[in-house]
Amino acid sequence: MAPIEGCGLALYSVEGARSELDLTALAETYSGLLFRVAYSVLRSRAEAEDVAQDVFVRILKRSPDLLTVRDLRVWLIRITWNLSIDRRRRIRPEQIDEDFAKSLVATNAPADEALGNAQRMMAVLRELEKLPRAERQVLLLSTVEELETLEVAKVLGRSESAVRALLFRARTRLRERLDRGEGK
Amino acid sequence: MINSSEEAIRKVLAGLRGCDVPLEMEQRVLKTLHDQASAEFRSGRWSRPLWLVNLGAPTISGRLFFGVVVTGVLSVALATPFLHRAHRVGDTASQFKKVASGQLGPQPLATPSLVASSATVPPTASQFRLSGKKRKRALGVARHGDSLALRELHAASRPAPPLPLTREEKMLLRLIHTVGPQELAMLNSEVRAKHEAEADAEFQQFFGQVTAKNNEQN
Repeated sequence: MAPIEGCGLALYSVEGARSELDLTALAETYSGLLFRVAYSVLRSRAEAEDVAQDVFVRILKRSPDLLTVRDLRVWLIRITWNLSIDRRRRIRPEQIDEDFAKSLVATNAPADEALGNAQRMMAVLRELEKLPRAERQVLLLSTVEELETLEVAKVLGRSESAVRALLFRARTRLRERLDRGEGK
Repeated sequence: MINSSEEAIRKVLAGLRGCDVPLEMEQRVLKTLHDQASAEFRSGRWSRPLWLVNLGAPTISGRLFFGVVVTGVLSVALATPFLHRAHRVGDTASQFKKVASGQLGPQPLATPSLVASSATVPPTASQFRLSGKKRKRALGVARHGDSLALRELHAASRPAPPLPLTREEKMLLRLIHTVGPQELAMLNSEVRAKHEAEADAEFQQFFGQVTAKNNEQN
């Protein structure tokens, strides 16, 4: 993707260090990934884009810290995740989840069927938020296509097998809770 | 109709996974970063190099910075010819010193290299006669006086002042003007020896014949 014309921020020197950080390349490489990570938490395109922008602004402000970062990709995902959680607390997630659930329902379906499907989706999203933190994290991060199990493990600071186990438990628990809820 | 919870879960997760990145999001991100960087720089909290920050959208501080840079470049470009000329005048001054120190004899001053270098600021007789501080001052005036150099360059050539002749030169002149070429040739020892030998032989030949006749008569 071509950089913005006239945007001179492509290269800048990290203050107090000799290395240089190509912020344009960073944005080109990671903006899509960070957007998807944020979207998995927020389920709103506008909010997710704002979070991705916030991440890069933080990189700009805290550039010296980047010199100590070993795995930049993992570091960026962690920041995005935390910012997304913070933002979700500040917005009204119910309204956003409702819109997201409606967007998943087929438009050509009858109104009553579409309404029923949307409610099922909303139930899934509600139960998903009620999952234990580690299980919810694993389940949501696994929806990001670019992330493999190993990277999810790095982001969460767990082993690969632990991540697989958490993912299995999360899906099982979610299904059980949904079935239980439907049974009631 | 979604019948099972598993299907609903799969559909939700697929919805999360299938989200496309908004169009031109990268440009918006970079634009935000640029605005942020400009704001940080204007507030003076950021010591990022100016030339990197100001390459982007022009700001008032950016224009000021580039104005200063352009002015500096122009002033250097204008000053370079003057500095170069001053350097060349300095070279000429050193040539003057060489000439004045020992090479100012009867031989002609106009060796090709010296003529070429003195074409910029030709040495005047008064400059040759000056010494020490006065000569430096005179050269300094010439250094700064472009018009003076041109005037000197276009001035009519003046003959060198007459110099006193040495003793040998005076003797040579006297010989040239008083005696003929035969006497001048006598100054050469080889020619003179050859001439004396011929004279001896001629004398011996003449007087040898006379003595032989006298003996015969006796």
